[in-house]
Amino acid sequence: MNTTAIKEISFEELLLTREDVIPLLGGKSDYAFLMHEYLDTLFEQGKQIFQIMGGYQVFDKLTFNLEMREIAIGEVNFEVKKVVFNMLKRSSKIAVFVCTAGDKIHELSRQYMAEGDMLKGYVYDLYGSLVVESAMDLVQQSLRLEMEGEGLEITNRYSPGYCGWTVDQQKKLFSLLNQNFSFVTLSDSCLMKPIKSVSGIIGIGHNVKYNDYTCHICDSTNCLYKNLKKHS
Amino acid sequence: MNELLEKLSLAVESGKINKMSPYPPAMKGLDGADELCQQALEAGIKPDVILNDALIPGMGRIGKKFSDGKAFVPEMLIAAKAMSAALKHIKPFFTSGEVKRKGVFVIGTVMGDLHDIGKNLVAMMIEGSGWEVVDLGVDVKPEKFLEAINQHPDCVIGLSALLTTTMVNMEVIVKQIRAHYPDNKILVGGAPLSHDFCKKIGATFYSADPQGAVEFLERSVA
Ligand code: B12
Repeated sequence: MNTTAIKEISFEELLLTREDVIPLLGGKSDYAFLMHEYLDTLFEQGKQIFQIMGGYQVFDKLTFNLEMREIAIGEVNFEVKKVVFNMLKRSSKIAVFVCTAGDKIHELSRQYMAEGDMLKGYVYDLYGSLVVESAMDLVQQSLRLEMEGEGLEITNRYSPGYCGWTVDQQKKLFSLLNQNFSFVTLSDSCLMKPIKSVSGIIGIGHNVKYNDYTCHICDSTNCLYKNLKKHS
Repeated sequence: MNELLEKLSLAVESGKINKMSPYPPAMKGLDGADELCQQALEAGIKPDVILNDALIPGMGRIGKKFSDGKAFVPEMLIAAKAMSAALKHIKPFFTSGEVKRKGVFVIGTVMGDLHDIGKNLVAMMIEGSGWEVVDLGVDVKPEKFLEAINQHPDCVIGLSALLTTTMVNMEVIVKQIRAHYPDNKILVGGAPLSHDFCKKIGATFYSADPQGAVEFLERSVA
């Protein structure tokens, strides 16, 4: 049986503060005070700017191909490669997730850039990424709660485009989702719209585990979140 | 070097836009790039000397720091703002022909891709190094690049892509450009790219950051 849960997340629920954004900018924060005005406006107007939606669909018909390190969800086969396979191989169910911060933050960011205020545009862009990741934390949290009710654990989340799992497999991922997920669409080149969106899978089962720190298993060398605490 | 030019160069590098601007705190109350550039012109320093000896080296130093991991995107953006405050005084001389740009750089995010923060940064830094930049935007098809080269026959082209699925479109674009304009230089960049990929698709040069591109362009006009 497949269960689906989708929710609209309010901006306030994310409980974001300046301290969540400043470390992402990098470096000493002696320029951070220049961002305060932008961030304060964002906090104030966040409710109007963000249209946050996220959800997951849980599948329990799974096949694991140990040799090829492939996982089939229903009839759809994913070549997830070593890292993701090892983290998910003990799952009895898999949740496929999608989450978005909406289109408006990207539009605003590019509007400021086009008007010549690159810094403001950049801060808005970064903030949009933070919002979608934080919203996805909440979606993951509600999956965790739902599964705890059944006595099950969940893994970290894994996305196509990371850990050797290729971005083009997003097409198959989206083919699994029902029409309630149409708030995010996928282009031929596997780009999600809105831009500030994420997709991926989470393993569920009695014998799976969640790692608080995962940066060491990821091969990304230039990730914004590398070694920052807030990272699922 | 002239003291005024030195101050101007430092103002650009540090992101001191004008006297009023609060950043950097250590330069509070001092003249910024805006005032210093005006003063340099009033002191009779030629605009091309101001551009080449103060503004471009100032941007170059912040670009180098970014490339070495000693400065971050916001610092580069603030420096660019200081640069444009100064450039505002030089722009009339571009129009009159008294100051010449080093060449034309045409840049775009390739078809299928909408990521443009990186592209915008590269465009900004290359403009700050003395080039005229023609930004074709995002999701740019090969025909649009060909059209731009037709208009600016000696231009250098820059292609940006952020996903492995869109990076392959670079090959299509490079092939089409090469078929019509075999001699134009093509720079490529974006998170999933590499030197090997650049070589494989027949582009001229790959750089992981804007400074590498600026230095390549510098060598190509030398
Ligand atoms: C923030 C971020 C996000 C955010 C926002 C995305 C956005 N663009 O708005 C969110 C969280 C939404 C996101 C989502 C996804 N992301 Co993402 N994301 C990033 C991250 C961490 C930073 C991107 C960024 O803004 N960088 C800052 C700018 C300034 O850097 P830049 O664009 O790379 O540009 C610099 C250089 O590349 C270079 N450059 C760029 N262009 C050019 C051109 C020339 C000519 C030259 C010389 C140089 C040059 O100069 C620039 C300045 O230094 C990168 C990792 C990274 N560090 O790059 C991953 C990354 C881009 N994402 C990746 C992936 C896979 C995804 C997803 C597909 C994951 C998923 N399944 O959910 C989705 C796709 C989203 C979509 N809409 O389709 C991969 C892409 C690689 C790949 N495997 O294809 C990356 C590289 C991470 C990784 N795995 O290593 N992402």
